[in-house]
Amino acid sequence: MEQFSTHTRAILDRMNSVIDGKPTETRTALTVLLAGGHLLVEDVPGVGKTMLARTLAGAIGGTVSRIQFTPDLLPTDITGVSVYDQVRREFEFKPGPVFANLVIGDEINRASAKTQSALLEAMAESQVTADGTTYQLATPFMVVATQNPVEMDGTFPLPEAQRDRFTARISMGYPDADAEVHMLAGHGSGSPLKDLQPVVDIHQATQLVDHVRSLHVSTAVRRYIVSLCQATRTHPHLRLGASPRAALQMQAAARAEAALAGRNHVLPDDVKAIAVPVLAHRLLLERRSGTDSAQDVVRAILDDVRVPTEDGAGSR
Amino acid sequence: MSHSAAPATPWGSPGPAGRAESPESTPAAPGNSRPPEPPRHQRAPRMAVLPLHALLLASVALGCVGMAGALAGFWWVLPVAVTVVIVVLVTAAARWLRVPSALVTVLGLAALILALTVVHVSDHALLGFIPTPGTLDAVGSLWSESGSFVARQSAPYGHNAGLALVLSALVGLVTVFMETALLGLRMAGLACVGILALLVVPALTLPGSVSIWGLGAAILAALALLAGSRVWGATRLQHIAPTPGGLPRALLVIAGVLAVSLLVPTVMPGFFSGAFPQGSSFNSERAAGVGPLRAVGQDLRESERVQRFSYTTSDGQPKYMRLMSLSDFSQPEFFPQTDNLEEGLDGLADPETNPVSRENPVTTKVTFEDYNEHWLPAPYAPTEFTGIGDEGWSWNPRDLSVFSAGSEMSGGTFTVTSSAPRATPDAMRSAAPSDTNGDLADYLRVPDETPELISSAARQLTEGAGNDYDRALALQNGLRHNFQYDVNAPLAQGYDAGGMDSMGQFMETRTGYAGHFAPAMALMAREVGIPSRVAVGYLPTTPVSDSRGGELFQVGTGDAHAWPELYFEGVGWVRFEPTPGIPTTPEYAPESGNEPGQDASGQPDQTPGQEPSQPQEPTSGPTDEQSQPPAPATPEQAQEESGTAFMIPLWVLVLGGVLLLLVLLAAVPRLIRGHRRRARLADMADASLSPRERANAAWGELEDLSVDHGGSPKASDTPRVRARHMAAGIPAASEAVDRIVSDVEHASYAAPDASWKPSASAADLGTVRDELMRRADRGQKFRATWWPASIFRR
Repeated sequence: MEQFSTHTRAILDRMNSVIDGKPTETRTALTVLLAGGHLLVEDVPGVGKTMLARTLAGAIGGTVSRIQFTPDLLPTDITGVSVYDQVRREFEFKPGPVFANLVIGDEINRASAKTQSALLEAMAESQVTADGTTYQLATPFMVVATQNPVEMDGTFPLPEAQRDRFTARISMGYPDADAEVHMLAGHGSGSPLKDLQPVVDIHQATQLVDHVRSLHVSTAVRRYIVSLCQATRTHPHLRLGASPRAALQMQAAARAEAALAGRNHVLPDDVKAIAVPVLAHRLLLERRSGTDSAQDVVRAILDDVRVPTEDGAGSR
Repeated sequence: MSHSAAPATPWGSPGPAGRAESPESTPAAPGNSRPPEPPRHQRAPRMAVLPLHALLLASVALGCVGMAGALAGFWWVLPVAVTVVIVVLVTAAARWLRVPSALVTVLGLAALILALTVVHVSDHALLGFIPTPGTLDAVGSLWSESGSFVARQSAPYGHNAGLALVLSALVGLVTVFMETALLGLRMAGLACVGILALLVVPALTLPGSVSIWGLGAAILAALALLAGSRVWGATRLQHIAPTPGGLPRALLVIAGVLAVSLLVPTVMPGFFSGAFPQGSSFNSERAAGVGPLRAVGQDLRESERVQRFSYTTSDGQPKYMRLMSLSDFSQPEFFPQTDNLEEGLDGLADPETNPVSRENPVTTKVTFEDYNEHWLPAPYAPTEFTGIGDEGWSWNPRDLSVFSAGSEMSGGTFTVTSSAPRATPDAMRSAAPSDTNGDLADYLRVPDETPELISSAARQLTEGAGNDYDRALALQNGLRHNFQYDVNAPLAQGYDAGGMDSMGQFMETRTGYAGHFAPAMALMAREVGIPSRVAVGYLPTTPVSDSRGGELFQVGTGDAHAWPELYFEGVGWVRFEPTPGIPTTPEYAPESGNEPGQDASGQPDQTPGQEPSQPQEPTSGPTDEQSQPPAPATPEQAQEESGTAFMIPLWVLVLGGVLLLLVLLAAVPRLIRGHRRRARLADMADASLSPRERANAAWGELEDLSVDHGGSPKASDTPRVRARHMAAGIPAASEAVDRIVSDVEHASYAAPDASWKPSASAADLGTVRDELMRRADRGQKFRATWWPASIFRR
C-alpha cells in the first residue's frame, strides 16, 4: 500500500511537472491506466493531447509506440505484417506498433473506419491475429487515443460501438494564463519530454494494476453502479445509454479511484468521481434534448440516483 | 477524518485520507468472512402490505359471521362493511406510503371516526363528514338508544340505528387493533384476539353461545391470519434475545389487549345496564348477569329517567306494580322461578286455580312506553288480564306473576283486574300459625349461608312479640329505624344487592337500599317462622292529569323497588315496607312512633319488641295501596337526583378526554423519536450485534439528528457528502461526525473483516446533538424536540 501510493504519487508528480495546470486530466489518465483501460483524449489541436499521452508513457517504464493516424493508414500498419524471409524461406511476423505497453494513437479519427477498428479490436481482446496465428499483446497494455472534435475537417467520427471501448474520455481544454506562461518558460529550453525518466518500471506498473484489481467492491456499490447505468438507459434525453461494458469499466475505474485515494474498498464517492468521464462519451443525446451535454445528463443522473448504504436496502 | 492530508482528487471528490489501511494487511479475503448474521434490528423484510390488508378484511368478515347469529337479517352488514373498508383502505394506503407505524394506527382511528360520522350521523356533521359538537350529541343519543334497545330486546336483534353505530364502532375498533397487531407489531397471534373480541357479541347475547358456523369462521380467520402473516412477511425475526424497546412493545401489547377487552363491553351497553335480567338481553335463562335486586339498584342509579309505562286505575289511586317475586334464597344471587308456570292466562281468571279474594276489584289499564321486561306489571293480586292476547303467556300460580318469553311490549296496552288482600292488623294478629310442611315450606327455608347476624337480629327484634303480625311489624320497624338508606354506598363498597352475598355486609354496615332491605326482612321473617318472599316491581307514583282529565300514573326507572311479602293464614300475602327510604308504610303496618311531625326529624330510639300502636281504621278494610298517599318524589328518586348533581357533566369528561388525547397525540412524535434514539444507542452498545448493525444504528441516528434540525439529506448524496454538509454547520462536532461516517462507510462498503469494530460511540452522537442544539434557535429547538421531522421519513 505504501508502495502503491508512493509510486502513483511519483507518476502524478512527474506528469504534472510536464503538463502544466491539468492535475485533473493527469489523474484521470493515471486512473484509466490503473483500471487497465484505455483513454480517449478529445480536443482541438495543440492543447497537449499527445503531450499527455507521451508523458504518461514516459513516466512508466515499458515500451511505447506512437501511431499517427492518417486517412491512408492500413490496418496492418497497426497490427503488423507477415513478410517472407528469403534467407530462412518462411513467413515471419513483423509486429506492428500495437505491440507495446503504451500505444499512442494520435488523431485516431483521421483514419478510415477499417483502420480504426483494427486498433479497437486489439484493445478489446488484448491480442492480434495474423495469418491464423494469435499473438498476445504486452501487459500492461493501454491505448491513449487522441481525437479532434468531429466537426473538424477530414475526420471520421468514431462509431459509438468503438467509443464504448474506451474507459474514459477527457478533454484537455486550454490551460489558464499562469500555466500557459509557465509552459512558455519551461518549453523554451527544448522539449520537456526529452529528459523524462520513468519513475516505475513495467513490472511495478503491472503490480499497481494488480493491486487495483484486488480492491473490494461491496454489493451496495455494485448496485449503485448498475442503478446509474440503468438510469442512463431510461433517461428521456438520451437515445443510447450505458452498456454493461460501461458498468464493468465503471467498476474498474472506481477501484482505481479508491486505490488512488488510499483505500482498499470502493465508496460511492469513487463511483461519482469517475462517472462523468467514464459515462459521458458513450451516451447519445436525443436530438431534441436542448443544450444539455452528455456530461450534464450524467451529472443530473448522479444527482438523482439514490446511494445505497446497505445490501439491498436503500439509504435510510 | 483529515481531509487535508489526502491528495486532491480529480472531479471534486474529497480525497479520503488513507486510514492506515494497507492492501497487504487487509486483503479482501472472502474465505475469512463469517457467514452473514441474520439481520436483527434492522428493518424486517418488506411486508406485502396489500395482500395483508386483504387478509385483514377477510378475517374481519369471517369474524363477523358469528355475529350474524345475534342479529336478525342483514341490515347491519352495509354500515359495518363500509366502516371496515374505509378503515382498511386508509391504513393500507398509509402502510403503502410507509407512514410510521404509530401514525398508521392514529390514522386508522381517525378514519374510523370519519367513517362512523359519514355512515351514521352525517346529518349532524359539518358538510356531512366533519364531526361537530352536534355530532357528538347525535352519537350520544344513538349510543344510549342502542343501550335501551339491546336491553329491551332479546337476540336476535332487528334493525336499529343505534345498534348499527355500536356494531360499526366495535368492528371498526377491532379492525384498527388487528391492523396494528398484524402489520404494525407483526404479531399475528395478537391480531387473533381481535377475532375473539368479535365473538364476544354472540357469546354474550345468544343463549346457545356462538353458533358452530360462527366458531368455524372465527377459527378459519385465525388460521388465515397466522398463515397469511407468514406468507406475506408480517412475522417477527427469529432473534428472541431481549431487544431494546421490548418494554414499550410489551406495554403496547398489554394496552391493546386491555383496550379490546374493556372497549368491547363498553360499546355493547346492553350487557351491563338493563332492567331485570329476565327482561334484559340475557334472555330468560338464568345463565349469567344481573339479578332483579341488583337491577333495582341499577335502575335507581340510572342518571337518566327512562319512562317504562303508565297506567290509570279505576279507583284513581296509584299502586305498587309488582312484576315477580323471589323466594329461593339459596343462590348467591336471587332469581325468579320460571319453571312450573301455567300456560295461558285462563287459570289466573279461574277462582279454582287462583283462589284469591275477588272483593273490591280494581282495574288498571297499563300502557307500555319503553318497556322490555318479560314480566307484566300488575297490582297484587291480579285476577284477570285482558287485551294482551293469549299467545305466549304463562303465569305462576304461586306468586301470580305473569311471564312471556318475548319481551317487546313497547307501545302495547293491557288491562288487569286485581283485588288486594283484606289485610287488617286484627286479621293478621289472629291468623293461625302457618303450616310449615305444606306448600309454604319453600317460603320458610333459610339457607345455610344466611349470615348469623340475620338470625340474631331477627331474634332480638322480635323478642317479646306475641304473634306473627307483631313480629313482622317489629322486623319492619326495626329495619326502618336502625338502618340507613343509601343506593350508592353498597355498590361502592362491593356489596351491591342481588342475593345472599350482600346480606352479611349489609347487616354490618346497616346501609343499603330496597334490594337489601326486602330480602333482609324476608330472611328474618323466615327465621322467626313467617313464610316470606321478596316482590320486585315499581313504587306508586305521583299522578299527572291525562288528556281525558283522569289521573295518569307514570312509572320509570327511578321507581324500581323491592319489598317483602309475608304470608298470613286466612289473609294471604301481605306487603311490608322495611326500606327507610320510603316515607310511608302500609296502613296495617304502622311505623311505631309515627306521630305527625316526628317522622322527618326524630329517629326515636326504637327498641326491639316495642308494641306498635293500633291502626286507626281497623274496620274500613283499606288496601294498602288506597291508603298510601302518592309519594311526590320518592327518596330513591331524590337520592338519584342528588347523585346526579355531584356527577361531573358529560361534556367536561369528553372535553377532558379530548384534551388528554390531544396531549398524548402531541407527545407521540417525541415519544417515537426518543424510542428510536434509545433503541439505536442500545444497538450501538450491543456487542451481540454485528459491527455493521452498530455502525448503521449510529449513522441512522446521525441522519435523523440532522433531519430533526432542518437538514434534508439527499438520497443521491453519499454518506460522506451528507456528513460534510452536516459538519459544515457544526465544526466543533466534525470529528465525531467523521468517526460515524467512516464507520458506516466501512460497514457498508468495505470488505468483511471480523476484527473491525466501529469507532464511534454514543458520546459522539451526544456531541453532535449538543452542537446542533446549541446552534439552533428557539423554534428549531422546539421542532427538533416535539415535532422531529425524522419520524416522517423512513
